[in-house]
Amino acid sequence: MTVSWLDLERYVAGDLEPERRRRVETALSADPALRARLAGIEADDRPIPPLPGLVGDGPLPPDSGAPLPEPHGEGTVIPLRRRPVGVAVSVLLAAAVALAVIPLREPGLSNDGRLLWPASSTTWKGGELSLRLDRERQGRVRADAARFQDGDRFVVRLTCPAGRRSWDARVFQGGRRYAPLPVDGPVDCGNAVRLPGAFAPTGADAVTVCVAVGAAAETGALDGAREELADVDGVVCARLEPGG
Amino acid sequence: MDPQQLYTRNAPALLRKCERMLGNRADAEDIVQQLFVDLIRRGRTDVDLPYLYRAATHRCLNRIRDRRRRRELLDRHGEGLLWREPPRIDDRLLSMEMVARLVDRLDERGGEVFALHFVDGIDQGEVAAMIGTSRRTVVKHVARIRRLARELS
Repeated sequence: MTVSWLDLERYVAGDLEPERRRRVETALSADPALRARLAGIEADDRPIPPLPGLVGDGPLPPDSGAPLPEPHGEGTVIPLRRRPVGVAVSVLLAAAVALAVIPLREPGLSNDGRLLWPASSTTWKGGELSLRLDRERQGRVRADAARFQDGDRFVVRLTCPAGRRSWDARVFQGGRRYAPLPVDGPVDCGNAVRLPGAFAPTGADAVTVCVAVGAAAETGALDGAREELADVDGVVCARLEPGG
Repeated sequence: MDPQQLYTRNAPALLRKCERMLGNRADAEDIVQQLFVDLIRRGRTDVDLPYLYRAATHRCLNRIRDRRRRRELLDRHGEGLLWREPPRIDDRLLSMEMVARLVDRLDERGGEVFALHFVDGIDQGEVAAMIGTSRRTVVKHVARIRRLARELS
C-alpha cells in the first residue's frame, strides 16, 4: 500500500477509518523512511498564524474571489441541506413551521443591563423583520430553538417585507465573529424564508446570530460589530444559550 | 464545524503541504490563511482534510503559475536548491525552478495530478477519486508528467 502525506496527516489526526489505519500501521512498521515522515509531522510544533476575525483582533479579511473545488469522492462538503433527513423529520419540520408562533424576544442585555443586541423581531420598511433559528438534533427538528449543544445544527429563517433584498449574517460568540452562511445573492423575502446553509455552534459561550437586510447588509453593518448593534435599522439578532 | 476548530485542526497539515509544494513557509501561510477566509466567508465549514488538500493544491499551483510573483517565490526558496522534502518524479528530485517550468506546461487537471500524486504521494486510483475523474485519465496525466520531466531536465 502506498502511504501518502495525506494518510499520515489523517493518521496523526485520528481521522482514518480502522481498516486504513491498520494498513498505515503495517506500512509504518516496515518502512523507516515513512516513520521518519510521521515523526516529522508529530514533532512540528510551529505555531499557526492567527486568523483575523476569528480571534477578535480585527474583521475577517475579504473573500479573495478565488474558486473553491467542487466536492468529489473523498473530499466532501456537507451542507445541511444535502444531508439525508427522513420523511418523518421533514413532516415534523413542516408541521413545526406551520404551527410556529414567533415570540417577540427582549433584546440581549449585558450584566449591567445595557442593551447589547437588537430584538429578534422589529418593524422595518412598514413590515415585520424577524429571525428564527430552527435546530436539528439527532434527526429531530425544533423550530425557534433557544439553546444549543455540540452536534446541533441550525438553519436561519428570516421574515422580511416582500421583495428581493440584500442580506448578510454573522455569528458572535465569546468575542469571536464569523460568517456562517453562504451569501450568494439576494433573498426573496417573505414569511420565515430559509437562508442558505447551516451552522453548528460549539463551546460554552452563548451564541448571537445577527442578520442584516437591505442597506444594513450593503453597508456592512455587521462587519465592524462587536456589541453595539442595538437599534441598527435593518438588523435583527437571535440568541442561543449553551446547554439543554 | 466551528470555523476556529476547522482552522486549528486542519491548518498545520495544510501549511506542511503548501510548504512542500512551494518550498517556503511564508507563501504557505498566505495561501492557507486566505483559503480559510474564503471558506468561512462562503459558509463552507463542513469540509474534510482531503477536500482542503485539493483546495490548497489549486492555490499553491496558482501561486507557482503567477509569473508576477514567481521571482519572489524562487528568491525565497533559493533558486535551484532542493528543499527538505522535495517533490520527486521517480528517482529525480525536483528543484523549485523545475517545478515551476513543469507546472507551466501542464493544464489545470495535469497540475492537480502532479501535486497530489508526485508531491503528496497519493496513489493514482485515489487521485482519480479525489478529483472526480477516471483512473485511466490520471494514468495518462502521470505518463505525460514523466515525459515532460525528462524533457525539461
